[in-house]
Amino acid sequence: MTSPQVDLKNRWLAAVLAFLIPGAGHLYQGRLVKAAIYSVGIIGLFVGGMVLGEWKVVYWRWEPGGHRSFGYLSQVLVGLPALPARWQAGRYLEQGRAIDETLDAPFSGRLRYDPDPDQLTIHPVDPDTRPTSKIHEITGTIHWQREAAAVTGTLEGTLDDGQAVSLTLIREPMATRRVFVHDEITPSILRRDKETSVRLFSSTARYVRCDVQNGDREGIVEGTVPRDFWNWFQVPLEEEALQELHGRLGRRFELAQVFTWIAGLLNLLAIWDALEGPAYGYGDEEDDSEQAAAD
Amino acid sequence: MDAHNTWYILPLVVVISLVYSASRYELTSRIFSRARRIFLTIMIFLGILFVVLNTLSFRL
Repeated sequence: MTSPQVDLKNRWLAAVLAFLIPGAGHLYQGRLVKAAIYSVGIIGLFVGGMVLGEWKVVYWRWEPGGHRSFGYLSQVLVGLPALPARWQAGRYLEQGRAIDETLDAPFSGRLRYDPDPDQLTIHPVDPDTRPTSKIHEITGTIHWQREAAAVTGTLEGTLDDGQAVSLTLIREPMATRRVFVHDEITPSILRRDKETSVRLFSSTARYVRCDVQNGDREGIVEGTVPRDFWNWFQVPLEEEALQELHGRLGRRFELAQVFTWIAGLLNLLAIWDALEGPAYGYGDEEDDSEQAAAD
Repeated sequence: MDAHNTWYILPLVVVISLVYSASRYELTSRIFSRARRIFLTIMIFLGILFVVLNTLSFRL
């Protein structure tokens, strides 16, 4: 109901603003208290849900016959805070399986040189007595680029004993995809560290593994490079990621989803209010219950 | 649902009450008085539901 006491200005513009940012439409109309209630309440609920669900509850995935994120149809009503998911779904699908054409990023991981071939011939079969090389922690910068069909690159870093090393990549590196996915990862030398979880690779860090050469010594480096915010935020979750989150967060993940769904549905009320005004009137009419008491 | 998660219902009901009331009326005092009433109604309803379900599931 459009109340004559409320100036809705350009109500269609207000409705669009209310959709894009909860409370913005009412701010435009000069209805400041309502703008505060809608923005703090709805955005607060939405962000609260995102935090509860480790920022993974809002995503768009629509596979005919497969997983469909119906909840997003409600979440998207919050407007701009949820819209990146639609764009991220496109980026996720467009990326191929090939590794980046170029990469220049800080690297943190481990290095293990291959054992001396002469020693291997002394202990050819018994893995218990076969000499193993020491594993070094390494931090530095990894760089590669694709030239023609081959990938060339270097890893300039410092080992845990303070020694500076310059390693040359000798084969095509392996890396998890740029835009977040829950790829199956089989770390080899990192696996020895029980604190290194698969989850580490699936959000803010990417797993990288490559064969390297340092002079006449060859070895393997395995570790992570940072993943940019826009390469994991609101990106579609695969089944493995969903199972991992449900398993780890339990009901908290479901609560997080409910928070964001309800935030979207509540913004629908706010949009309608910006378009049509308050549903029951201005509010200075006599209260029904008071009237009933008087009767 | 364990006791810890149950507390999340409070902010949820507060926001639902406020936003719903704000979409019904324009007058600030009316919005808040109505929101308070809705909040109490929902909490009492949920409280009754909680007691009933808790009693029914006693020693289960």
